[in-house]
Amino acid sequence: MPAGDAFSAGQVDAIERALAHAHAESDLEYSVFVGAPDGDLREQGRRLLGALGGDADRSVIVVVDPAHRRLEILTGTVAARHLDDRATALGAMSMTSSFAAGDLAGGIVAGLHTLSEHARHPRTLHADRSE
Amino acid sequence: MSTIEILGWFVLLPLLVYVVIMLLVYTPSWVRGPKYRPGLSWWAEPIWIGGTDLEAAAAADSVREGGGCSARW
Repeated sequence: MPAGDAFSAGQVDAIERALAHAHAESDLEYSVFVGAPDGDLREQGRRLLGALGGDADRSVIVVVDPAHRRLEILTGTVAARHLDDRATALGAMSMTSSFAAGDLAGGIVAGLHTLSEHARHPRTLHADRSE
Repeated sequence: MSTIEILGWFVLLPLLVYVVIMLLVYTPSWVRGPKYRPGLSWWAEPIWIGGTDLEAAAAADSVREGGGCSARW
């Protein structure tokens, strides 16, 4: 991979659309970091959560390190109620299967769809009834 | 056959065919963008799509996450 941008403009567009779709479907804030940070990848994810300020609790951050072939998905404290660790593992699985085939952008898009599908807020009977 | 015709048939035409074939071969990868190859080095700049400023993130305090998972490929 030469120095420069990780994704083409079309790939960034596709990821942004997937982020918007995931947000619309689950009412959580999603973001994707792709890079090769020094040190612990999970700690990098925690710093990214910290940078989100007030949105951190409702956020889901996907941290991808293509150099070391590592992936971390972090959920904020509120997001974790809607998206448990099993659901994030499913999202991670759909991402890593594409990553292994060399498709970073496609894997991220597929993973975001999986995450948002499992993060739908369950309907509560007393709140959803019209009467 | 004049010199110009000879140049056209034996130089310009092969050159044109060469350029067309080159475009047909390389255009799909130019359109798709950079290709990630697992196992090779990664030199691209870090990018945070849907997030805020990366410089702010570098200076931010870390926040304990509510959950999540790790994976490798």
